[in-house]
Formats: sequence, C-alpha cells, structure tokens
Amino acid sequence: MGIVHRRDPVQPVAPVDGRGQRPPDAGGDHPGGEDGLAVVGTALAHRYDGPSGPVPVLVDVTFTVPRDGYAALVGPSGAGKTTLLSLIGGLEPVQSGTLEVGGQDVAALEGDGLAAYRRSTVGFIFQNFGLLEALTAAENVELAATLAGDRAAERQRRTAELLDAVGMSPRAAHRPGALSGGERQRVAIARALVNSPRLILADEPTGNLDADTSDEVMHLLESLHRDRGCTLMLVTHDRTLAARAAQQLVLDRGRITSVPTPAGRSSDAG
Amino acid sequence: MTWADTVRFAARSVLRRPGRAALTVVAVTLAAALFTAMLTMAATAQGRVLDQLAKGGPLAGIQVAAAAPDPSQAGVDNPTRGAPKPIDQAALDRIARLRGVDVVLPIVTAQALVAWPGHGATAGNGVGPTGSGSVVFDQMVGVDLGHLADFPVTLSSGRFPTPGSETEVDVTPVLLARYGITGTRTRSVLGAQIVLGAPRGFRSSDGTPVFRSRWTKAVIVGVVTQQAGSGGVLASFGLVQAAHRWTAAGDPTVDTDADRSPYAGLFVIARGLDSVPSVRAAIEAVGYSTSAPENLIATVERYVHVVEIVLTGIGVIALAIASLGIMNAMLAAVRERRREIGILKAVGARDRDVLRSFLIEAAVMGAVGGLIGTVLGLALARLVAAIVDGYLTSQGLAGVHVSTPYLLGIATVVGATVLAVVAGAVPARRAAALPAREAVEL
Repeated sequence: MGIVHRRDPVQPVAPVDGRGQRPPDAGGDHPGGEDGLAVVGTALAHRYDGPSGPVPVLVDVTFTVPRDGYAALVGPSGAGKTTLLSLIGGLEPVQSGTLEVGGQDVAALEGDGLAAYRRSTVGFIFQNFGLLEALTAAENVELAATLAGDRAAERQRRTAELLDAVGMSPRAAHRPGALSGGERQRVAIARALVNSPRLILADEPTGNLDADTSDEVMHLLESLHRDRGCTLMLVTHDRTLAARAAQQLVLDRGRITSVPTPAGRSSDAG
Repeated sequence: MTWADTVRFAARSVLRRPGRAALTVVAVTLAAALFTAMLTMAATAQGRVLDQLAKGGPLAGIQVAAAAPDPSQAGVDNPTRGAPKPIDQAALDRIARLRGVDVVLPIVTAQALVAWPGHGATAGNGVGPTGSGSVVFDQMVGVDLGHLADFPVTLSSGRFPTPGSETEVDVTPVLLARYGITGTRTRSVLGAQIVLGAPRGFRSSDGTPVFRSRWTKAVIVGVVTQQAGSGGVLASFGLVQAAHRWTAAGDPTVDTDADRSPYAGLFVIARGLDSVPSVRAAIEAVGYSTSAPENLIATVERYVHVVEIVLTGIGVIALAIASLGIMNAMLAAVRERRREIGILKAVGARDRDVLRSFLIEAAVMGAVGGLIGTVLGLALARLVAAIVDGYLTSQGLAGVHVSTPYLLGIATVVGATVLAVVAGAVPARRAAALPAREAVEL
C-alpha cells in the first residue's frame, strides 16, 4: 500500500494566515518535500467546570515532541490524554501555560485562524472515527478540502488518491454505516490527510478495533509518519502500541509522570 | 467553504432527515396556503363588493343626469333631481375641462317599443309590426361600446355587442322578466331576434295625434345589469342616437315625454376616489345633478378593510406558528447534531460555515413550503370562488372570478423564506457557537 505525497506549491505550516497557508519559503527538508512540526507544551494547565467547582484535568504539563517525532500519550482513563490532544489540535482553548506547534503559539489563534489551523496544520483522527453519516466515504474525505475552499476537481483527485492509499477505493461510495470499524478508521485517516497536515493527532485510533485491524491501522499511521515525515501523536491505553512510538508521554491525574525514551528507559518528568 | 458547497451540504442535511424536513415543510406549506388563500379571497371579496357598489363601473365614476341639482341634496349619494336640463356638447366639453376629471362618456337614451316574435309579454299593448306579437315600452341605452369597461355595466351571460354594431344588443333581466324569463332561463335568450321601434309623434292632416315607429331588427347577444341609463336594452351609441333623433324630431305637443336632450346623461370618471367629492361639486356648480356611491363605498371599504386585516392576521399567525415549527425543528437538529457540528469544526469549518449551512437549511424549507403553499392557497381560493360563482350564477347574478395574484404569490414565497431564515437564526447561531470539542468524548 503506497502513500501518496501531495506537493502543492503552498503547504500548510505555521505561521498560518487566514486560510492556514504558510509562506512559500517555509518548505521543509523531508524527501517528500514536507516536514513534521515540533510540539512544545510548557506549564500547561486545564480545568473543566464541574457541578461542585472546577475540576483540574491537566496540571503543569511540560513536554516536547520533536519535528518528525512519533509520540504516544499513555495513561489511565481520566489522566488528561484526550484533553492534551484536544489542546494541541485546537479543539480546546489553552487556559494556562504555552503551547507551540511549529513555533506558532496555538493559544493566540482564534476565529478563522484557529479554523485554518485545524483544517490545514493538524489532521485529527478520532477514536469513534468522527465521520458524518450523511456523506459517503469519499465525501467525508473531501469535506476537509471543501472547507479549505479547494476546487472540486483538485479535491476529488486528492480524495481518490488518498482512498486508494488507505485501500478504500472500492468502498468510496459507501456511507459510514455500511463500513466496518477498520474501514471507517481508514476513511478517517484519509480525511485527516487530505489537506496535507504536518501534525497528525490520533485519539485512540484503535480503541474500537480488533487486534488484527488495530495492527493494520497502526501500520498505516506509522507508514504515513515515516513516508510523509509528519509528526505523529497518538493517545492509547495499549502499552504495546505505545511502545512502538519513539517517545511516550505518560500522564497520570493530569501530570506527566515520566517521559520514557525510545529505548524504553524512563526518566522522571519535570 | 464556498456558497455552492454550503448549499450542497445543507441540502444533504435536510435530505438526511426526510421525515422531519417533510413535516417542517408541510407546516410552512399549510401556513403559506392559508395566508395566500385568505388574502386572495379577501381581495376577491373586496373587489366583488366594491364592484357591486360601483355596478361594474369604476369606483371613481360619477353619473351626471340631464337635470338641475337640488341644493338640499348636496353630498348625498343618490340625490333627488331638480328640473330637467338638457346636456349638450358644450356642457359635455365644459365638464370635461373640470379639474380632477379624467374621462367623460356621454350616454344617450331613446324610447323603444320592444317586439319579440313568438314571445308574449306579460304587459304588452298589442301594437307593433305585423307578426311581432305583443310589444312592451322600454328604453334603449346607448354608450360607446369601445369604453364599456368604464361604464357601470356587468355582463351576466353572453357578450357585449360589437362596438359600432347596428344589429346587436344586450338586454337586462328586468326587461326579460317582463316576458316571464327569469333566473337561469335568461341564458336561453342569447341569439334571439327582437324588433325595436322608435316612436315619433305627429299630427295627421286633421290634427289627430298619431305615432309612427321606425323599426329595426336586432339580435340579443348578452344579458347585462347596467346602471348607465334607465332602460332594458343596451346598444351601440349610434343605434340609440339614431332612434333618439327620430323620436326627438316629432311633434312635442303630441309626444310630450320625448327626451330632447342630446345626451340623457354623462358618466364622468374622476382621477381617483379622493377626487369624487370635488368633481361632483364642480359639476353641480356647472348646473347638473350628480350621483355616486362615494359614501357607501367609503363605508364598505372600511368594513372590508377590517375583514382584510382579520384574514391577513390569521394568515400571519399561521406563518408565525410555522416559523416556530421551523425554529423548534432546527433547535432539535442542533441538539442532535452537536457531535456532527463539532466534527465539522474539528476538521476546519469556520463558525460562519456552520451558520450558513443552518440558515440555508431553514431557507430551503421555507422556500419549498412557501412555494407549495402558495400554489395550494391559490388553488383553494379558486375552489372557493368556483363554489361561490356557481351559487351566484344559479341565482342569475354575475359570477366571481379570481385573478392570479402573482405579486402576492411571490411575496408569500419570499416572506416564507425570510421568516424561515429569521426563525432559523437562533438555532444557526447556537450551532455556530458550539465548540469543536463536541467532536471528542472527553
């Protein structure tokens, strides 16, 4: 299964303008013409309003994922993994601390700029796939490009290439309800890639899949990371899957407790 | 996202929930239908009532009699007249020049002996041409048939005489009643031939008063109710004027009733309903008695306007309820689609993309409902009018005809769309304000 590279003259990378596009001279040095983006969080704190007052979810979280990095966020349920991923993906506002993606302050983004960041800088893969039931697989993939205002012919070409890359061309006209869990996740991955993001965020991408399908999806994500050179961050409960990452960020009750090295040797965080 | 893409996306969202969309559209359809039907019927009723008051002529029409005004009757719709006073061409020209006068149409009348071969009049006198049967005395009314739309004349059946025709006439139900022909039977007279006689009085060589008539054959082509002049036969101006001249040239000592005024009356059309009082006053100042249903029209207009307000109010309330239905349906849709909206935002939709999508959904439902409703409403109005028309014509009265109010239709469709967008604004804003985190289960 090959991965198609998009070589648009203007690639989305920080700093982004209103449409999430970067200056032409900000090209990377990856063989594919693209680079990942470094993610740097410093003293991040986050809380939600609960019925009995604010509930801290992240407390003084500091981490760095290098450009082209592959990091796994692990930890028990309620540790703050998805919240941290949501902060990085621009789905949640940064309440406290600083968060830089490719040198860009995510907290400073708002309105159209934030939408452009979500659209073009980040590719988000949801645990429950996040596909729109009213649309076919191809239309779901095309949606992100449609939101970017791309011309129909161009976005349809990219959609076809990506569906082919994830092995879903035969199922392009099917709606999500007619697809298996693995197939849905493949479509979701294709959608996340349609605007050539340089940071892929996957929230428990294998959480709803069986072991064999999980392995297929992980191979797909890792090949994307490897071939496209984009930074990959994923949330997982599965220590085995996490061990495949170059870097593990272990969260417990909102704090990073350790930052294991790629070789598996942990060191205390912070 | 471009507008075209947004429209496509919104259309898919509507079609995704066909049941709810259909119910919402039905609500708008019923409201628009009710609104259109109410307004169309109100307008038709108003037109019908005022038409009846104006006897088919223009509302701003004033009848001028060949008589002096009675000063004590100033401002009365149908005043008693003063002494006879001929209307000649000079008087007509003078009235035509008055301020506020739009058109002056002369009316000529002539005494007529009506003979209808094969029909026995209930009140004939037995005179007439050979084989004509009994003859009734009546009057012919002559007007410029090219301006019939300006006269207080309403066609019940058949058609009007061809302008300039010397052989075609219309008759009134009153004349037919004298022959015992009433109700729907009046239609049976179309195509029948009658003989019209204009009497002239003179004295024989021994001084005996004698009448001789000038007879002409005519075909009945229509039945009309007319208030242009007093008479049971409506014919072309030339035909009646010739009969009038024949009679007027007789010996006035023999036929003392012969009308020798060149014109029996005038029908003056003012430049608007507001000008009627001043024009009437000016004509009376010239020296002629006038009549116009201005006070009655003003009173009825007020009542009809009240009815119109009530009917419009019912329609508006229906549309408002439909708007609430749209708002409710869309608020429910926003609640159901929180996650979908979150996903849209997570993959890069801007607030305005979501806002537009929901507004377009509302607009589509409003426009579709408005369009179907308008067509249904017009059909309903026509159905009601057809029933009323059937009843009126069965009573020998002029029917009701509903014209297609295109402007009302367009206004209803546009109004329903705008109302839907307004109703959808709150849900759309709510949807647009949803955070992207709705996409993830935290």
